[in-house]
Amino acid sequence: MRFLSAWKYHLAGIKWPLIIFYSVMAALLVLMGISLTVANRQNIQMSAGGLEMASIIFVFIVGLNSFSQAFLMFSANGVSRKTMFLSFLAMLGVMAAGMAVIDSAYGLIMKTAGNYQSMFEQMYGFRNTTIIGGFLWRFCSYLAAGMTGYLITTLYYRMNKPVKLLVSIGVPVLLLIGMPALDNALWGGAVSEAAGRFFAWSSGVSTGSPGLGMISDIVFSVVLGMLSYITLRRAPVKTKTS
Amino acid sequence: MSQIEVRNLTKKYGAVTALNDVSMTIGENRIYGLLGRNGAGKSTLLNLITNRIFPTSGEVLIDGEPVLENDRALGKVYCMSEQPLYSDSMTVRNVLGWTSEFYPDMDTEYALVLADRFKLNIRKRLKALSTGYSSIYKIIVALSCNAPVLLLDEPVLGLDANFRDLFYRELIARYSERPSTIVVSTHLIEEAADVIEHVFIIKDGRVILDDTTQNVLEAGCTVTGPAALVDAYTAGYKVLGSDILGGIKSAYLLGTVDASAAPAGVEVSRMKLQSLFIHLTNA
Repeated sequence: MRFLSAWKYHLAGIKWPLIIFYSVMAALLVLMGISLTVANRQNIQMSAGGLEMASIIFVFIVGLNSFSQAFLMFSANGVSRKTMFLSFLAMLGVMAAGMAVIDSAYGLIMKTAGNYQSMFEQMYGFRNTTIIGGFLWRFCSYLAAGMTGYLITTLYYRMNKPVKLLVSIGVPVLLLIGMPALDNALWGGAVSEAAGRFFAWSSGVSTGSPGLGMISDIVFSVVLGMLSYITLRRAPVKTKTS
Repeated sequence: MSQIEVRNLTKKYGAVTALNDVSMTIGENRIYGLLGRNGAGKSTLLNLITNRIFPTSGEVLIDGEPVLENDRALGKVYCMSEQPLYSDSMTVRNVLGWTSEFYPDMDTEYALVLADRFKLNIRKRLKALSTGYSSIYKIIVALSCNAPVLLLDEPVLGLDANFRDLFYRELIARYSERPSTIVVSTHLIEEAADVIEHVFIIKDGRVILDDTTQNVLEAGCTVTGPAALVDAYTAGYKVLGSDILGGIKSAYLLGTVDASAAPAGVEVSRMKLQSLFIHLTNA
């Protein structure tokens, strides 16, 4: 019962962001569709693609915004942390599936207008993918993006202000400047190259295998989910004491 | 109808011990007063009961079940806290709607009646509410959610005298109509004294008094009169404390005295809960 209520609360929270997001996407779709049709008629080479990246970013942001406020609201209403987590997972699953369906439909509509390649097709080189394959790949990608956002926000919640500041500045500096500089200086860029190769392999891009990419996304989501739950299960409501 | 058992609860924040080995039983269908000075550990105790924070040691049981990560046990309790836990972009109407999702026995009609009595516009966003009205919307949610256990942490914060009076009248009306377990944590002891049936006084993280209000008030008395007469009359009794104003002294005693033997000009009266509280917690 409390699970269903918590799930409904999460779903209500994404209703308007989703409507706004897909209204913008629909406007873009119309613009791109018109451009592709006109270009087609005038024999101008023009292509469009990769709308899924916008969806991945959107789901990531939803993940980022799904913790703090919901955590306090659920705490006010006697919901256990386990139920909070499961209800988020259920919301993410439904949202990822729904968005994968809509994005698959968007892709199909765009194809009728002209030269459109989905992100899936661009990554794996398939010109015409199966609808189910594209749906599953999108679903897994969105799941991983949402879990990434959720883990980041739960970790931030648990940190105190100095640690938050350190992580906010330190991690980007380390990843974007420190690590590459160290790698270039000590190993001639071998670590970055190995990381790139690992990413290309795990996402299935290097082998042209979207199945491997889906499995990687699922494994990644499970690991992030476990870490999120471990972070959440002892999270206190931050409060004044008297 | 639920009972809360607090067993050897300790909560430490680093080197600071907010609660120290607290044990108490909060029985069914009574109104309890949880009294203590600022920082005594009242809110910490309420937050531990609702599993909003975790104890360093000890446990809390509701109807025999540990509250830790237990939806069923947590669902029996509603805790109105001083701290805002709802998004301030929500309207009062949103809060009522969502509370009825989580507490299916909530009486939304009654909530609307209360909103009317307290002159609260339910279309207002929480961020637009004054301190007093922030307390009022929380009071309305708490009184109408019909949870078997209500924990009210500083419920009258920022309320004027009229609204405080209305709150206590509504609290008693709700309790008479639908008896439940209510814990009121407050600083305004004199006002709450009339509704409290059982008193817990917390000092420095420990429970120093756990008794019915009647027993507490009968256990002591106030002796008032000229200082010299009062001193002579109360000699040999355990005096908790005293106040002197213009040569007139009020002494607060533990135990009873023979009022008929009081010298002329000396008056023996019932001890007030607030006086007892002040002298117990100042000691």
